[in-house]
Amino acid sequence: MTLAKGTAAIAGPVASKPSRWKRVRESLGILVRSKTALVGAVLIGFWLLVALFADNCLVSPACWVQTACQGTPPGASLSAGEGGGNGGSPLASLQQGVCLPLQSITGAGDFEPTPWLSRYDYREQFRGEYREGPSAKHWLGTDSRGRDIWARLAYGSRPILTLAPLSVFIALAIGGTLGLVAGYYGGFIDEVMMRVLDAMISFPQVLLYLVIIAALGPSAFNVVLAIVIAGVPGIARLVRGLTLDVKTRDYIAAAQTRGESPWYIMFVEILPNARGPIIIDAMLRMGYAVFAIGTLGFLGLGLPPPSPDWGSIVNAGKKLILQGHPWEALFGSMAIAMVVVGLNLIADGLSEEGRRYQ
Amino acid sequence: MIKFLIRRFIFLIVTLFVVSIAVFAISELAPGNIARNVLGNTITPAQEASFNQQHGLDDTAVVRYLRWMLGSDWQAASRVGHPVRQIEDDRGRASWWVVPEEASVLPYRNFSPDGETMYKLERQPDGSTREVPLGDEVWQENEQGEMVYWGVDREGRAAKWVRGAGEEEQTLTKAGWTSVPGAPSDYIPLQKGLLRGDPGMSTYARRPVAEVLFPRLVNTLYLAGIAFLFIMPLSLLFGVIAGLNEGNWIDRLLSVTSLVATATPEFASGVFLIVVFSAWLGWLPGAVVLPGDTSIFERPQMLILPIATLMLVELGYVMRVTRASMVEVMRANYIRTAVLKGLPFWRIVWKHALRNALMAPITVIMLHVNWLVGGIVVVETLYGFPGLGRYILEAGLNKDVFAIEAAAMVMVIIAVTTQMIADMIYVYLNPRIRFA
Repeated sequence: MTLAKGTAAIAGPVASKPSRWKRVRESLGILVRSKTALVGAVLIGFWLLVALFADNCLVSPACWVQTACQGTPPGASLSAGEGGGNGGSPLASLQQGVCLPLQSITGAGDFEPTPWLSRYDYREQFRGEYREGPSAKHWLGTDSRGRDIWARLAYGSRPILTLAPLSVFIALAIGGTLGLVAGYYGGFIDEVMMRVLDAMISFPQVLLYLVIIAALGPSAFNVVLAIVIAGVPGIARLVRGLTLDVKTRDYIAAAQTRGESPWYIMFVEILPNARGPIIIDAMLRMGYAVFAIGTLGFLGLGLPPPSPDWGSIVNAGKKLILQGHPWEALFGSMAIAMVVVGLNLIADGLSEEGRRYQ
Repeated sequence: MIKFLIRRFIFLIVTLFVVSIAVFAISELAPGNIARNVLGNTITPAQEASFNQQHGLDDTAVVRYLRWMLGSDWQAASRVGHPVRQIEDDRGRASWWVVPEEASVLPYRNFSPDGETMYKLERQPDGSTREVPLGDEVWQENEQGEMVYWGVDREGRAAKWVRGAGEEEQTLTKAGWTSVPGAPSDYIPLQKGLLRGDPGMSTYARRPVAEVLFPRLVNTLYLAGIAFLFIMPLSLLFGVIAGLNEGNWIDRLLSVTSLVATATPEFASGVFLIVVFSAWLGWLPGAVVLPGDTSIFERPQMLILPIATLMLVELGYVMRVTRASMVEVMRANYIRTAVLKGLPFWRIVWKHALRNALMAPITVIMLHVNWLVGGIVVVETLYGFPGLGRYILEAGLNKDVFAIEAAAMVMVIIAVTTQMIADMIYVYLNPRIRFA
């Protein structure tokens, strides 16, 4: 969809304006034309479907309310994750004001979603069926507490597929703004910003993750924070480079002569014209983000225990591999590999197609 | 060139300084509690307070940072009135003693059984100690009117005894919690400071950081070095082959394989390798189990899978960069000129293309060291390899501030130095910059 909008931005002023549907089809066409991108899209699409329809949450309003109001005192069967950022009292009271009536209307407090694609609840423990291999009852086997591995993977796709785009989006917003400002104004601001970012880049990312998570504790919020901090310098550098290039074009000079404000020029003139590489970079970064979330989970720094985080599943399963039960670690690794490889394939296909257009 | 090196060096120092402060500050903000990490969750407030006091954790963050950076022995020496130095015993273990300037006085430590009488433990030349009671005249009055005595206690910390204060020291020994009367009421943990090459004591392991960190670092350098030795030639070779065959099936095969290899997280590819080669085929050991931290080559077949895992990710990455660079070079005008003038193909590749094509990958490999470090943490955790990566993870999980700090310093030095080397290689390979 981003692509479709982007196409509109350049196609806009041109005389013949293709219909909205045609533009959507064109940008989807890139995905289909490039075989690599198509394979990537299928891999991601599979997990998107699983994430959306793991249970019937998507079709029942009660479940939306329950998910959105997770932090509020009554109801909320899922643990909201410690220190997830609901510390501010005005925020909490606002949350209560909105959530409590909604909960009573929809009966959300004690809503139990019915598993669809996941087949079982990811917390359900089957007695006597510990560490089983794949079977008709448990497609991918069970873990050492008798929980269905497929159910855990299916539910585990949700945090991964929401946190990764979220963190990339925040990093893009911050890094993009920094890069635009540095590239557009240049001079002293540029020099200072780039030196600071250089220092940040020379700081090993894993150490950054470790220090942040070790200091602030494992939670979804902190995982996003860590990935954003690690991602901002790279994005800022990329956007700065693109800005330096686009800045020299005539239409920028025209906008300046028109008396447009710098912010207008940066975000309306420069940013849309630099979007191609940024989109491809964002795809790659999304892959890195999934990579990072998985790695954090594997190192025991991911989401707190009840959450069926893929990295944590592999972490739990790694000790069992050599004891004749490789399934948990194997399927967890496969799931993560599928998503990261899928995102990389899409990015690769897009950049290949982009090059062909030029 | 020299100007460039100096600038880089200054940048390195500034980065180290900033990183050290940042790591300290973040660790400081942390809600965790070192005493509880070390001693368990069941300790009483009195035990916790005593622990914090003994390890200097009750001082402010600024004081602790300065002590870590600049050392605390000179501060202690000014209190005690004599120099405080480290003496090595015959096993090479260093411990802190008060070492008076006069050669006739033996090095000593102090203790007090009841808080009224001070004793001196004199260190004999053969390493044994002798108890000597001290007279009342050693107590000195301070501004608050207390009678105080500064010395080094039996654990090797500078300490202040206050006469009749009735302090008790609570420590966890093998026999359980013990409470010792006549304890000091203030402590300064002794360290030489990072600037003099001492990264301090690990609060968690109660051992000097350097003693553990150094062998771990050496192990990791071996692991990464061996992986690097394989990655370099293989990735360049495959990259060049793929680049020369742009578009046909060889290129496609190599490109897709390399993409999948790079994109798969290390822990996932590691799990695949263990499952296939260790659990199913049973060819290779799936974990590194060693008698000690320093004997990694005792069973070399244990290193094969960790190295292979590290290689998979890096190999694919460098290969892709090499391929892209090769493709670009082969499209350049000077290559077309060479073809048109009738040079044989291998000669064009060897003499004209390679040198230009390898510039990008070589710098990229160096800049990618940060990524390699991340991979090492994962690989070492997965296989249980005793290296720097696992050390960092353990330090992070235990909130062992000095250990994290030391590891961070090592990693930043490695990162900035390799960037510097990358710049130098780039300058060397690219005459346009060298002669500009």
